[in-house]
Amino acid sequence: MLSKLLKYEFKASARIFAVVYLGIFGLCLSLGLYMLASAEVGEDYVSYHRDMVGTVLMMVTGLFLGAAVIITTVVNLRRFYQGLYRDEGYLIHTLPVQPWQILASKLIPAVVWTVATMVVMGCSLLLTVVISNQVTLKEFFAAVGEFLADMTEQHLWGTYLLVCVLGLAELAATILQVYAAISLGQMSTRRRVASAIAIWFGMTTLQGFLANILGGSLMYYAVDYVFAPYYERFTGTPSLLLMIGTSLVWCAVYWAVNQWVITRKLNLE
Amino acid sequence: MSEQNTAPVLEIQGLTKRYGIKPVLKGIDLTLSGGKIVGLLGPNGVGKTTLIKIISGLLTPSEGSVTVAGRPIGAESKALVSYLPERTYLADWMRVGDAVELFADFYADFDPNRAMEMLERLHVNPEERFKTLSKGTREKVQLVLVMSRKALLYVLDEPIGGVDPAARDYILSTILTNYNENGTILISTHLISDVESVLDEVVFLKDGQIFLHDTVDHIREEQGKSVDGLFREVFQC
Repeated sequence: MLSKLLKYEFKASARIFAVVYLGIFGLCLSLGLYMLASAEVGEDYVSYHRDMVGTVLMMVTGLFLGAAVIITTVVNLRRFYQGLYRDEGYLIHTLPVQPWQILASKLIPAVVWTVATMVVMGCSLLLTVVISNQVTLKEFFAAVGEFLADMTEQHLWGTYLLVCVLGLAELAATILQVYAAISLGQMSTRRRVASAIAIWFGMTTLQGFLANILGGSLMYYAVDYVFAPYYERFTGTPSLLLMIGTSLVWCAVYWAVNQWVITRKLNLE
Repeated sequence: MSEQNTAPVLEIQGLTKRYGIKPVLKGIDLTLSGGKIVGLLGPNGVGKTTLIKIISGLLTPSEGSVTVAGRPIGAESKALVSYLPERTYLADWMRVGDAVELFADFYADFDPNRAMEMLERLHVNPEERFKTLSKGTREKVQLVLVMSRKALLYVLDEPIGGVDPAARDYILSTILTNYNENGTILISTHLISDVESVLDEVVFLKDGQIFLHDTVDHIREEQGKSVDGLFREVFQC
């Protein structure tokens, strides 16, 4: 059933992201081609106007990239709120699926689309740089090869893998936190959106407070002691593991809040 | 005989629902057996939709229990219940064909061929998006999807409210010609005269409690009046 929910969810959001990603690609391609053309023009009346066009194109591209991040966030939040607590909720909550499957069908696409947006932005900017001849493909792949060789020589694969896992865990925790605020907000009889925003601020403050309290705890020393013999081989690993663990704990807490609301406090009016 | 056939289709015990401190449903006890068309009747605001939403899993009760074929409200009961809400709930971006595919994906008892036949009779193109359909057509499409299931319990919330008489006839005809005859239909309405002829039993809801649960024939024999007439008498302002 989860795969069917995911199919429905990706279908709902793919058409929006397809347009956004095409826009990113198109603007970066245009900017790259423009920069390539501009490189051959000297300082004269024509080049002055071309610089103006280039500046505007750069600004538009930059603004669109920023907008893409905002659009990704808004789409993910709207899919959750409308899919669970508005009219579409009448469909979703009457399907023969478990509450955890409904939650997972919202979280997984949100994480996937967020990562995809960052990847598309990165690749499109790379495209701009390569097309405009700032860096050739050969130079780029040579640099990548050197980087990978360094990682292998210094035994850093594990560390970078943990960094990626940490990034995903923190992304999931952040998304689940916002979902929890929305879920708790819908329990209000009035001003549900305002309630959700206020709850989110409260959660963020509380989480920051707890992080400060626990940040200097004995936990760090205990973990260091366990992993001390392996320090040279796994630089930074104890801290990364602790941070991943903390993020997963927050994921579990916010997941439980969402699940509780869906199973015990659902109030579709 | 399977567990599904021996247990009542719907069993409600001590059901109470409060919004804050205000009780909407108070200690409801109700048992419905299979193969019946039951009217859930009452004036606006008496709690019919609240009761229906609890049965469908959209609201959680404050107290009491609800089971469908012996199963508590959850994923298993939702597989047995075909619910038609008062509002349109299919997303604007969906095509009609997407909705048929969704129902086929999630409900084992859904017949996509029957759904497509009914849509064809309505002259609805499966490639059309819901946002391009009129409100009345959207409601009919939802009805087609719901009635294309061989469910154990159909729960229809005000299916004929807010539509013209011709559309009401179509909706009632669709319901009667497509439902699972071993199942039960629970229709919530306040337009009693339009549905009385098809009802086997009626449940009157008054002040959050069940005022009456009886067969239509028995009411006519005992009361000497139609269900509509009794309703007007019970709920007169």
